[in-house]
Amino acid sequence: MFNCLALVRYLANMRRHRFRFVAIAACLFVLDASSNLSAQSCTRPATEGSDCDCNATINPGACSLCWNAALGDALACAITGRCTLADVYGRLNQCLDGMAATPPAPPTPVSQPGLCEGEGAGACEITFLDPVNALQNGNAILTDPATLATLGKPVIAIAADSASRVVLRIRAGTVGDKIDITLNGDGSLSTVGGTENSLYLSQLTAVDTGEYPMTFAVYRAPSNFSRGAPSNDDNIDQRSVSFHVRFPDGTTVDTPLTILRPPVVLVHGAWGDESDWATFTPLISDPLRNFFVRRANYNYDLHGAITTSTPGYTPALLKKARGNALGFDFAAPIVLEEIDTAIVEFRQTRNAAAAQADVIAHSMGGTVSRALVNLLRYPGHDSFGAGYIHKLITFGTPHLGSPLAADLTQGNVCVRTFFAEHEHIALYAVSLPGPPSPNGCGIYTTLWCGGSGDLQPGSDALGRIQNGSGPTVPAALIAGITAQANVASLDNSLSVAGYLRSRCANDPVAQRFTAQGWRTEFGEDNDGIVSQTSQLAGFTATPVGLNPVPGVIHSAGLEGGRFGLGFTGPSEQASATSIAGIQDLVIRFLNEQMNGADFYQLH
Amino acid sequence: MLNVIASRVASTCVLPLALIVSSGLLTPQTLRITEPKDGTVVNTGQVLTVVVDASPPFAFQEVIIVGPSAIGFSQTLRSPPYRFSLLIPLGTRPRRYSLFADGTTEPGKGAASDPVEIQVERPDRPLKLTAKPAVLDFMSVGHNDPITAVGQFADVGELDLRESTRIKYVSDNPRVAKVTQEGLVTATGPGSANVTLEYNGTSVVVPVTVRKPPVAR
Repeated sequence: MFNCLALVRYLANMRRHRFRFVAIAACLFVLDASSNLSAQSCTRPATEGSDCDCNATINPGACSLCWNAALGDALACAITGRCTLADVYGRLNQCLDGMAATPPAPPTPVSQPGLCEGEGAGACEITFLDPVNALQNGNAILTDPATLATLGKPVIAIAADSASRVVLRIRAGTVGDKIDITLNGDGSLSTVGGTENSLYLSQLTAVDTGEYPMTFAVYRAPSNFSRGAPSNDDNIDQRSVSFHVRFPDGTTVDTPLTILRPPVVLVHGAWGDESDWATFTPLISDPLRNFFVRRANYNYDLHGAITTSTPGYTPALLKKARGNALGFDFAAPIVLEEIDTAIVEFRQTRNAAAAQADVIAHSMGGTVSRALVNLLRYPGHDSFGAGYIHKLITFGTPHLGSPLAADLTQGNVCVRTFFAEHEHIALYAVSLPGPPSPNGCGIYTTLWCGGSGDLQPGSDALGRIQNGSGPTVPAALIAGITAQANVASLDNSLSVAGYLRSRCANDPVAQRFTAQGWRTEFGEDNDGIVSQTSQLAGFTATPVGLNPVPGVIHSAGLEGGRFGLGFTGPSEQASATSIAGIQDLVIRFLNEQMNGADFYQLH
Repeated sequence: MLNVIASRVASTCVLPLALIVSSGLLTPQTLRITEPKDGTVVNTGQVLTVVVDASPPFAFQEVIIVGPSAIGFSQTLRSPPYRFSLLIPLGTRPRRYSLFADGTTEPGKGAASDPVEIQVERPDRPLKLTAKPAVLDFMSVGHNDPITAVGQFADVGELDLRESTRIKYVSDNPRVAKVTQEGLVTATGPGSANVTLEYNGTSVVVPVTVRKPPVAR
């Protein structure tokens, strides 16, 4: 097999050869055909220019779409020289590895007779380009026609996140042609470099790009995937808008663009990890809505890096402390990076433009997600300055802290030690090697806060969130609260709660560890760890009658029997067969308009 | 004179103290996990037997095995032999976990053992193995970045595999990129390389590019 991509690059370098695009297209066609994509087996390019190694049976239709898009990347790469062949092969490999998620069907342009047929293949062609990086100058989209004509990644879809953009690249017949574009659907149109927010652009002028006359426009994604009743959007995974383009001779072309749900990132809580979401169905296995779900994880092995802590622990216990016991300053950059990675993966596997993700967070994951909004990197260029979170949905989150965080770091040494053996190490502040914490921890100006330090009611970290310097995020807050059936088992002397009352008879918090006594820890309804008021950040629970969700405990780790501390489940993250309320609310909020009645604008 | 007084005081006090110690009243009350041994590899779904030695044998009113939240607690036992069964849940993330034995001698008092570390692994292949990030592009030699392996499993979905002992990283061109067994990739020279991640019979390739340094003019 000849080295096709090398030939593509060679041809691309012949900037003025009139047949080079034909040759490139032929070459890619041969490469495409050689990979046998129409067969049941898809192929993987083993080395540059080699033939392919058929070893994976995957969805042939999806493979073909993805492969074609990757070949488009290869073409752009070859033409521009702004990426390496390793990038291209990485893209192809991701294409083949990402087949579990079937990309949406390609839009089918509908042409009417006229100029488009008469001028040969390619005339009236409309291409959607993801402008991220290649077509950006800061948060803005470049206006240079030659760049817009040659760069940018062709895509077939866009996420409904209000921030994403695609550039419409429209080939015209002659320089100076006046072209009209009408958007049929939601979202908005603007000229390149313009600030319109329109459904209609008139008299766009075709310009010389060095190749064909072209004109350009920018489409901004709608804010919401679901348009509510009477649409059936709540229960589908994709829909479309279309662009009606009218050329000077009356020829029109209608080209659809697929609208997708934004990716979803799940963020775990303190002392947890990504496996906590294993039972969080139907979200992670929803056949109707086909969510693209990824899980952030900040439960890092610290390899015994913590040398001192407040409160103190024996060296044997302290070296068990992991990243999930540290505070917001540690976890927020990690989670931000993971959200960004999930968006990039979504763009690659769904062949779509996307700038933001919907974040669903449990417990401290909610405060970590709010803290990351204040990071300087948050309003990145690839989100067009809007930030990476489209909507935030929290449940069981101590937005106003939890008294338990204070109890476990002040006194109660016996309970604290027992929890540490359970890998629930309550840390107020710690010393870590390397640079000092960006915010310090209370009086410890160079130390890093632990999770239990940040979650003390009234802590500096919670204050920084509430008075945040970053943009606001639409947030829906869910509270879970225990019922009598969830706490009755605490009174069982054979439960771990019973063991702790005896073992730690001198610790006040252990003596409150009873069915009646535990409520006094919070002074109000709670989920066993966080009060209702704190879970709702002091706001009113909505929708009325559905929120708060009764009969749940904070996490599976609290459950009785072999696993936990003596509560009775289900937990807030349990499967829908055990508890449907929270998961129903999460999906409801994913479908709700981002300015809906259940969303607050939070820092 | 002082020596005489001291020796008389000592002879008066030491004998009763020796009697108290021999009776067990002042003997340190300790717990020690004798099984499993440090470093034992346990598969998810497996029932692990944990044996605890108490000293003195009947000093404890209750003994319990304390694992991390993924594994949880054992039942409590109120007399020897202290032999426990712990099921390692199927969804447990592969990594090292510590087990402690904790016991109560009287209300408000007790002791804990030193930890024993076990390595939990999954016996099965993931449905899919992915690497984060999928591609590495270094702007210059000397830079490094970690690769994380993530497995998709039928029962629990996504699991981070970076702390499994069964994940292997191999670079096909160490002159361009070398990789540690922790997955840290370091750019060693300009060019291209592939880092392969292998786990339980599945693999994924991460293409690595290291750019040439700009030429000084």
